[in-house]
Amino acid sequence: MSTASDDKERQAIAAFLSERTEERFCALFDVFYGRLCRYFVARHVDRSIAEELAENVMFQVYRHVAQLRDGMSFHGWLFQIARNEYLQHRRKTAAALPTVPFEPLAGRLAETLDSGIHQQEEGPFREWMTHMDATEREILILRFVEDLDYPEISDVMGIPVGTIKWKVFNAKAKLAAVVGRKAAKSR
Amino acid sequence: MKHTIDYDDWLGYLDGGLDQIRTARVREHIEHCSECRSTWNELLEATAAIRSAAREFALVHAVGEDEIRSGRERVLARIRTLESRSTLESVAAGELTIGRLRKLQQVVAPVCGARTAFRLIVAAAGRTQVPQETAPWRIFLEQLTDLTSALCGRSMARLVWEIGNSLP
Repeated sequence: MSTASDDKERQAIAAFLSERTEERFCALFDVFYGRLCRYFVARHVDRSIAEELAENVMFQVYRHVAQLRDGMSFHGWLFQIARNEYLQHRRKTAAALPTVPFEPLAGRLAETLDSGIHQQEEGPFREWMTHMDATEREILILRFVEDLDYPEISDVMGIPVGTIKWKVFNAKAKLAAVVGRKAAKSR
Repeated sequence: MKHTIDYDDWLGYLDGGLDQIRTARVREHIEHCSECRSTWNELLEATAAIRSAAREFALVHAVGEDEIRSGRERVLARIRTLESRSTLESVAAGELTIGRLRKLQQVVAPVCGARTAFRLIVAAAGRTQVPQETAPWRIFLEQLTDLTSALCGRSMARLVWEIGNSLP
């Protein structure tokens, strides 16, 4: 079902793709900037850096919109740029600061920890993501937070649609076990 | 019981994206297979849970109007800088071309006269596009060399060709 915000997005994209003016870019920026910030935050980037990365993405959109290939969705292209920006950011920070690579907490250990105030605010999403591998986490963020469809996620990640579906299915099965355990615990 | 539902069926059934025949096949199998019915219930619960958690996460991390406005201003400032720089670059390219044309005019004028030199350049430019990039400059120079050869002789034409190619 199409919502008012979907229509606004569609209009902003169509207007900007038909003519690259500053005014049309502003409309596009207003629609996507928040989503991009959230995408980076979901990937454990600090809020202020997330804003900077989102600005870089929008700047690239303005410069390289002519490179958007026929048949590729705008969302797929946009989040592909965002993903590259994120990977570049990670490479830079890894080069600047040698750190221990992130390893998600084992499910059982994560469940025993105090969830904390922030987690209560943002719900269980982040905690559930710790049960997934890196690719599954990325796919679930694009699918459920950013509402991208399977072909769009395939464009973003450069993985076949069938593999994306398989990963989503597996992630849901893992999640079913986590949600089931939680439900059993609370009974 | 043989399970006839694969991951694509499960996802399609959960998302409501299967055609009627596949939907009926999955529904019928779930009705008769308790194991798959239990899988279905678990997947349904997990899907609803992740959707709701993702919505909650998105709401908590929503970006305010002020942040959008200041982000937009910063990006617009970068775009304006970029565009003014590219305008300057095209002006500089134009100035470079004018400099080259003047040099060629100075080479031809002492032998063929200032007016002829000017006409040669205008005629050669008329036969090509405005000579700005490297390739059009070469085409322009070929035209100018041909015209110079016809009006001022082959030695002059060779000189024009060599000097034209050596200009920065």
